[in-house]
Amino acid sequence: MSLDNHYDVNAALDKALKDDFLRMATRRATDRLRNGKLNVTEELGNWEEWRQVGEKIRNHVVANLDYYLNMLIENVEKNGGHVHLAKTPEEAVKVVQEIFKKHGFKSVIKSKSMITEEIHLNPVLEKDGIEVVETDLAEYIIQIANEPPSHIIVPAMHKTREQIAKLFEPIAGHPLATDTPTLTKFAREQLREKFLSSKIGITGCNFAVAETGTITMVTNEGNGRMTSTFPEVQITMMGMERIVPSFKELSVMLNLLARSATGQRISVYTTMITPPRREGDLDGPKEWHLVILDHNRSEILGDPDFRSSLRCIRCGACFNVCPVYRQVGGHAYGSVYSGPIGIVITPLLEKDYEKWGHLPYFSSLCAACSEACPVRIPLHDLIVKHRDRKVLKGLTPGSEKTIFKYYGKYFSSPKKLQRLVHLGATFQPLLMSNGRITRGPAPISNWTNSRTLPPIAKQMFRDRWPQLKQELEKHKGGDQ
Amino acid sequence: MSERQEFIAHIAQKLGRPTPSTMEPLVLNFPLFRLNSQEERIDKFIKIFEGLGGKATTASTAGEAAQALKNWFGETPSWLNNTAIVTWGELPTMARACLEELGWPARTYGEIPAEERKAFLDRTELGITGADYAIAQSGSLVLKSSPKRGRGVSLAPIRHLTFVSASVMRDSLDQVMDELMQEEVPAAIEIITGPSRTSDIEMDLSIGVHGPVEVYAIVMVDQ
Repeated sequence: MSLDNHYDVNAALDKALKDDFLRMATRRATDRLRNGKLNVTEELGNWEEWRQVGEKIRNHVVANLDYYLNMLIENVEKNGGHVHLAKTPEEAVKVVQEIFKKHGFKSVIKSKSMITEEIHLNPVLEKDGIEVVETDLAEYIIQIANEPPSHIIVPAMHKTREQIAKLFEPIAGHPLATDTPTLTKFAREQLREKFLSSKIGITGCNFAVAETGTITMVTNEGNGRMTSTFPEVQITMMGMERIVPSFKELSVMLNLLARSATGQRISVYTTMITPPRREGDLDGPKEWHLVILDHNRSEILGDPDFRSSLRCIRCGACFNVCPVYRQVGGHAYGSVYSGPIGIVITPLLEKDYEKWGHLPYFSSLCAACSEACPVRIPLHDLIVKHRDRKVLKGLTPGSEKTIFKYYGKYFSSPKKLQRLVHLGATFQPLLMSNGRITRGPAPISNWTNSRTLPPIAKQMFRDRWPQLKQELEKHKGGDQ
Repeated sequence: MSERQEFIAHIAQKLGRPTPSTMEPLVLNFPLFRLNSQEERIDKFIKIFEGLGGKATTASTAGEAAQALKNWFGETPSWLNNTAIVTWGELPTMARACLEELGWPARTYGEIPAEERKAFLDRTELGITGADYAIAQSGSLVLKSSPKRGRGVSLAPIRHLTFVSASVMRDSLDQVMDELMQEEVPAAIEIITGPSRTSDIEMDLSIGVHGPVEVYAIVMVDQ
């Protein structure tokens, strides 16, 4: 399933809303993650202070990104790594293709990386005849299903165990029981062989430490460690803003990330690698490539309205509190990054309001996302700014323009409004049953198709006002 | 202009100023998790470590450590054979003495020929390592790599056992990071917190995906 082509927002929403399992699973996943987060943030006793420090660190890095990026590149090269700077997804993909071509590798193991989703790396490598194996259990599942992630932290939460067993069956060559231990064991065995035989690994990066040239990855399964321990060649892909100055700031960010993402004090494996392997080391890659991607992040940097979105550490906390995400899950958004942060960064990364202009409306603007964000990105404010920009770009649908034209006309003149309301009150019985408006003409039907509206009062407040005013004055007089 | 200079200059331009040549370090002052004594740290570590599904105990002698291993794995573990146990080349004295006392054969990772190493690891039942630090707040172990400290030993076997000295027990991650900043950076620093796990199938917690299924820690205390 490719979301990029043939994406129809209404069809996607309808599909999501009719999928009872998806909606239950989304609520289950988000509840679990959100409650876990509450437990481990409350035990700190000063979570708000942690958030402020997180914001300060990330603001500092973003505001001095050129300085820290320079430092990171210098240190990686000093350690013996190869740095590749990619302005566009196409350039990043090409860098990776060249590395494969140079070595002639025909298969690769991958640990979770949103950047590789962002640049759509897998299909290109597969076209080159390379077998790409995702090793995070969830990524492995959705790779077999040929679907994009539905959640940034738990990408396969929309799959039932029965569906997962069915997906594994052709690989196993026999039916599988659907209990979690059986399915997990199957994946462990399948992937273990790949881990030990693969010559090259591709990983993502949670934080790059500028001062040392260290890449930090957090995983719970150990696939990130496997991918960075056993292959001879390793490629690490990172968005260019994913930097911290030193281990000191890293410590704060790791606390914020693990607690916000999965409700853990720290993830099972926090892997801080400074490749390549040292003289005499028994494992770790001998050759290491770091691909640093811009993909319009520099444009966001130069846009004061949206610069704060570069603070994001991809924890997914905003997904878990979002009333819209919780109803429809990630696929309905149509974008690689979903949830509130996806709404904010997708139109900017893709530089396309026409294609992604629907996203800012996947929000009730309740601000729960801003409150959940461990680095205090004002997500709901940014979503409103996107709506502004879409309007200013003249991308508002014609029907909406017409509605607001008339809205402006009638609501700016008391006389016209009064006339309109009286008209409505006279004719509304045609649309009513049981004292409520139940069937409206378009666009009111968008509402009345699924719920009812209260009727317009028989007598407007404006009509009653002269009488009310008299009563009020009488009352006042009595007081004196 | 090189490609890199151009890349950096483009960012500086977007930030609307030339790239700074020096940077004041950030000042981060806020209250962090602190315990009052070594005993508290050890207790907290063991409690959190076991809460994650691991098994941990203190030992002041190799004999005590050997007893703990017997309690955990049985007098003679059913999985024991000549290639079941793999260890770092550089192990704490207590760990070596403990294995000797038990009479359990163990292979050193570095002594296995490079081309057989991965296949060998895959068949091992227990990996034994030391640790540079332990963290009480999160029940974590911090392992730096070196030629005598193979990374695979704490990763590929079904079980991972760590011997960690009580003297390197710290309150929280920030203290460890501060110390790591003063030391030479190795190819890998692994912070390990409990057994490998996933909740990827219907949010159902499952232990042991790619890394060890069982984790054990001996906290070595002075006699």
